[in-house]
Amino acid sequence: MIEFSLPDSAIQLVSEVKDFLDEHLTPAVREHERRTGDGHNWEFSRALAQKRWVLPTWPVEMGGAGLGDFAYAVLVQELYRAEAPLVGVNTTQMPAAVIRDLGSDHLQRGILPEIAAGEAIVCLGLTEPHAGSDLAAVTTRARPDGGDWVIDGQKMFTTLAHIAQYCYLLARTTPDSVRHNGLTVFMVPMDTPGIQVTPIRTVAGERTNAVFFDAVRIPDEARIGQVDGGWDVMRHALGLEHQAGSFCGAAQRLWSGAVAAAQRYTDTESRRLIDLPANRERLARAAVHNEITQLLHHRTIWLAANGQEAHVAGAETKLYSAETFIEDAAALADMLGPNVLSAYDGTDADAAGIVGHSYQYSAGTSIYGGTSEIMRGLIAEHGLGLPKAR
Amino acid sequence: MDLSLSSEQRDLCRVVGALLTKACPPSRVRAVEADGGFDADLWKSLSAIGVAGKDIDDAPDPLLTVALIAEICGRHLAPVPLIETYVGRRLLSMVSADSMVPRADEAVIAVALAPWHSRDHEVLVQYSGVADGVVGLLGDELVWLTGTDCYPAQRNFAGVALNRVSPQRATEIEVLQTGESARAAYAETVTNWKRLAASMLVGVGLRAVELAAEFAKQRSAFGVPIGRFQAVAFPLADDLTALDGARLLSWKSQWAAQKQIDSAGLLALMAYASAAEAATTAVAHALHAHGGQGLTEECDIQLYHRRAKFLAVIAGDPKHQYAAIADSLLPQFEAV
Repeated sequence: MIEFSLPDSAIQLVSEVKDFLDEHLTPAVREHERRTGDGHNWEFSRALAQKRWVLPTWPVEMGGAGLGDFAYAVLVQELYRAEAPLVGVNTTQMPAAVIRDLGSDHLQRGILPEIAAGEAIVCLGLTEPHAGSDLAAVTTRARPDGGDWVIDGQKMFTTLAHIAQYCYLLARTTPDSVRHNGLTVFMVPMDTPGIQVTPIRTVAGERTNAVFFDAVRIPDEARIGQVDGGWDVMRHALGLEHQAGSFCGAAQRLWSGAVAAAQRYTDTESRRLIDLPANRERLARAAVHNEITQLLHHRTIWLAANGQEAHVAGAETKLYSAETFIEDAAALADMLGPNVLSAYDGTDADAAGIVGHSYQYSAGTSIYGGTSEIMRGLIAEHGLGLPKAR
Repeated sequence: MDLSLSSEQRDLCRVVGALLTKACPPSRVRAVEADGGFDADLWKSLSAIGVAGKDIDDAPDPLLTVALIAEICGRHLAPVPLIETYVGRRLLSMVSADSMVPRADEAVIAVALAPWHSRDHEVLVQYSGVADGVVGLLGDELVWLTGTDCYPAQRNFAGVALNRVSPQRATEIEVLQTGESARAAYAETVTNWKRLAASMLVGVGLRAVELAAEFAKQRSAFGVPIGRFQAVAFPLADDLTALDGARLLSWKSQWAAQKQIDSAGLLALMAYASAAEAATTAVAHALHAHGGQGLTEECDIQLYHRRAKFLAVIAGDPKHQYAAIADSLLPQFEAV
C-alpha cells in the first residue's frame, strides 16, 4: 500500500532541529547574516558540526550523522524555513562528496575532516562571465608547469569565495579543446597568491563574488579526477543524491509571514487583509503550490533511494518550486501593498519584511542551480521524448 | 514514503488500459458523443471487471485503486459513470438499507454536485438520464431520486450525458437522511467525487500532452520538427510537471481518506483545484501545439480540450475551490 508519511526518523528530527535553532540561531547570528549576506556563520557551522549535521547523510565514522534521505530533506527544510545561514554548509556538501568518491587520499585526509568539523567551506568556481548555465563554455585556463598547475582566468557568482578555504574549480587544461573536452577539476586553496576576490551584491542582500586568477600556482595534488576528465567529475556530481533540492523551506517561511502580515494590516476601508476574498485565494494557491513542491521533492528522493531514474523528477521539482515561489512571492507582496516595502529587519517578528525579502530572494531561484530553461529542456527531452530544444 | 503500487493494482490497470484501448478509441468517443454521451456496452464490460463495486472495496487500498482507474478512464475519455457510481454507491451503502442499493454490477448512480434549493430548482447532473437514481441534497434532506426519462437532456459542448434534474420531475423521491448528518454525508460524497475527478483530470491532461508531444515530433516547420522549438516544447514541460504534481496530490488525498486522516478533505480540494488548473492549461497548450489542425473536429486533441473544461467546471467555479481551501487553512472571517 502506498504511504505518504515520512519515516519516523525524519519526523522526529523536526523537533530536534527546532530545539537546535532555539539555541544556536541567536539574534547575533541573524544580525550577522542580515549585515553581511554571507550565507555562512562560523559559530553556527561549528554548532551544526557538533550535531554532525555538516555532512548529515555521511556515516558516523566519516563525521556524519548517518541520516536517511528523508531525514536530510527535513533537516534542510527546517533550517531554511527558519532562514538559518546554510548556504556555505550546503554548497560544500557537493564538492565534499566528490572528494570522498573521486579525490586522492591527500585531498580526502586534508580537507574532509576540516569540513565535517565546520571549520572549512568550499566555494564553487564553475560559471564565468561568458558561460552562464553553459558550463562546457568555460575558458579559465590551467597550464601544467613543472609538476604544478598555473591558473589564469575569471570566475563569476562565486558565492562564499571571500570566506571559503577552497574553491572547487573547473578549468580548461587543453587549450584548443572544444566544449566539454579538455576540462579538469581542481581544489584550489583560497589563500594561494594571485587570487583576487571582488564583492558583488544581489537584490536579496546576498554577497557573492567575482574571482580573478592571475598566475595562481597549485600542486598537482589539488587535482580531482583525470587530467581532461573534468566533465566526468561534473557528471558524477550530477548523479549524487541530494542534488534535487526545492525551495520548500523558504516558500513555507513566505507563507507564514504572509498570513501573519495579512492579519496585522488592513486596507483603506479598515478591513483586515486576510478577510478579503482575493487575498484568501492568493494564500490558498500558495499553500497548494507548497504542498505540491514538497510532494515532488519527496517523490524525487523516493525514486533515487529506490534506484529508479530520478533526473526528470528532480528537474520537475526544481522548476515547479522556483516558478511557484516566484509567482507566490510576487502575489503576496502585492497583497500587502506599500507595507511590503519596508526594509527587512531579519527577525521572525517582521512578517511584512519576510514577504518583501522573499520577493527579492525568489528572483534568483529560477537561475542558480540550473535555470528553469535548463530544467524545461531536460523535462521536454527526457520526460516527453522531444528532440533537444534550442 | 512509498509510491509503489501493489501487483494487483498494476495488473488491474493493465487490464483496464487494454480494454479501453480496444473498446474506447477516439472514433468510439466521437460516436458516443453523438449518441447521448454514455457508452452502455463499455460500462457493462468495465463493471464486469468490478471497477466500481464491491470487489474493489474488498481489496486492500480501494480508494487509490479507483483513482488509478479514473486516471485511465480520463486518458481514454471513457464515457462511463465510474466516479459517480463509486461515490454514490458508497453513500447509499452508508445511509440506506441494503435493499435500496442497486445490486447489478452495471447499475448507474448519478450524483447532483450542487444542492437543490427547492423542488423545482434544476441542477445539471451527468448520467442522470441513464441512472438507476440520482443522489443529492434538497434543503437539508439527503434524497434519492428515481426515474430516468423524466429530466430534460441538456445539449453541451463537452459531448457528455447531461440532464437538467429537479426533484419535482422525479418519478419518486426517497428521503435518506435529514439535518446535519444529511448535509455532512452529502458534503463528503461531493468531496469524494472531487478527489476522483482530480485523477480523471490528470489522465485527460497527461494524454493530451502526450498527443501534443507526438505531433510536435512529426510535424515540421522551417525545416525542423516543431518540438525542437522551445516555444512549443517548454509549455508542455511545464504541463507535465504540474500534472505530475497534481497526481501526487490526488494520491495523497486518497491515502489520507483511506487512513481517515483529518486533512483528507482539504487535500481533496487541493487535488481537484490543482488538477483542474493543470489539465485545462495542458489541453490549451496541447491544442495550440497542433496549430490549425487542433481546431478541426477530425483532430483528437479537441476531444480532450472540451472534456477537461467540463470536468473543471461541473462542480462549480474553480475559484470557489480556492475559497474553500482558504477557509480550511486560514483564520475565519472576522465579523465587522
